[in-house]
Amino acid sequence: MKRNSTVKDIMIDIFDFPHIPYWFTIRQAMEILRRVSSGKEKAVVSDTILIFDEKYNYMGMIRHRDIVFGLEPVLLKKTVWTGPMTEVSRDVTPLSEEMVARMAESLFKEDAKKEAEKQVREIMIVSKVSVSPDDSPAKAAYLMAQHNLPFIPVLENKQKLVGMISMNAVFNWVSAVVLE
Amino acid sequence: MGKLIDRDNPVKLYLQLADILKKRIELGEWEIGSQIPTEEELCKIYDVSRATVRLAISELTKEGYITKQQGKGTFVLKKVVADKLTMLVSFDELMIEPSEGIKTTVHAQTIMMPTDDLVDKLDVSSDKHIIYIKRTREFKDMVLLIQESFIPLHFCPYLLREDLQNMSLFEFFEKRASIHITAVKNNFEPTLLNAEEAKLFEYPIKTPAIMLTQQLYSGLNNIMFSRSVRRPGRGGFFIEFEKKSF
Repeated sequence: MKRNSTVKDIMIDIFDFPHIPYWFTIRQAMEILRRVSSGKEKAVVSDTILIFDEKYNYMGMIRHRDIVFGLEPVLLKKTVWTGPMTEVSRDVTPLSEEMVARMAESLFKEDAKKEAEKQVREIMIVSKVSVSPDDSPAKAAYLMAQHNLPFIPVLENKQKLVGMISMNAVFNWVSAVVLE
Repeated sequence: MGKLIDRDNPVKLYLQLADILKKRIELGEWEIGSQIPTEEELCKIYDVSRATVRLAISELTKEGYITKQQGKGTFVLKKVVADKLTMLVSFDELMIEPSEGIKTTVHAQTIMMPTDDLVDKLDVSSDKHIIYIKRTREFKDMVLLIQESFIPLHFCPYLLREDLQNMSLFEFFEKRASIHITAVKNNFEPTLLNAEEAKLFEYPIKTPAIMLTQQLYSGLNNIMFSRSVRRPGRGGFFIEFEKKSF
């Protein structure tokens, strides 16, 4: 691995990831992840699914955390309901132990089952940035940091998905360069 | 125990055995979902070699009578083939062929993972990518048929880029992919339109209709599973269904 390696030298095969179209439900996505991670021929990546449109154009991805938080949107809310007409910002007032316990008690019940029927497009990380096969891994690192992404797609001619760059791959490149 | 193998019969032993086993399933001696005897037991019962039993089992698997579950055994499948049409009828009737006044629209040509019953229908493991194709056949803007097809990606990845508006999948397999179709299994069953189908046909949800499911084989490989829903009220199959249910 050299400083002048390119994205295509370090990218992962897209078929190492499960694929689904955007109209699949969260429930179907969960079933797929469960089967893939317990399967004999274990997929290389079993915590992230790539999402495509009807013409097989890449749209985005969902990971374990997007599903967990997608089923209980309250987990991502910055404010929390604490009683009639009162909402508190978590940044200002951290929840008391008791309030955390009460909230936890209400999570992942019937409502979550209903939420699981939503389409994955409602909770996916929409693809906004990408790299080209000939870009430097440094560009991938920059975009992943800026957008807080676990993976960044590699698009050929800004359209066709040909690979994915993982933080692991970026790390390997960076360590080769820095420790040289 | 029923019929035994006839060694004077010129028909190959494994085919005779396959026929005997089929009878037991068709007559309900071996119930749906039940486990059939092990290979070893079958060797003893019918006094044949392990190789003969294996060939017979693979023949039945291919024809959709039974399914093998790794580490568990071999089980009788839910549905026994209801209707085995000839190749000719299948291709004219069920495949989307270009013809006068009939237009084909490709709604989807993308990739998914096998869900629900597809793992069995296509005999693939759950981490195998599947090409998903959804097309409709229309006459003067009236949708006649909605067809969804599922093909394991590894057989022909380039199918994703083919123009399927003007080509049937059969034509694709035979001419473009050099995959020869050796068997076709068809099933007709009543269904109720789901929301998406109802919208395409412009009929109310849950209108009774006929669904044709089809499996294509090339040798032992199950290369495609498809299901097609016909416009309600069209064709003899619907009438047959009406008589049965009312």
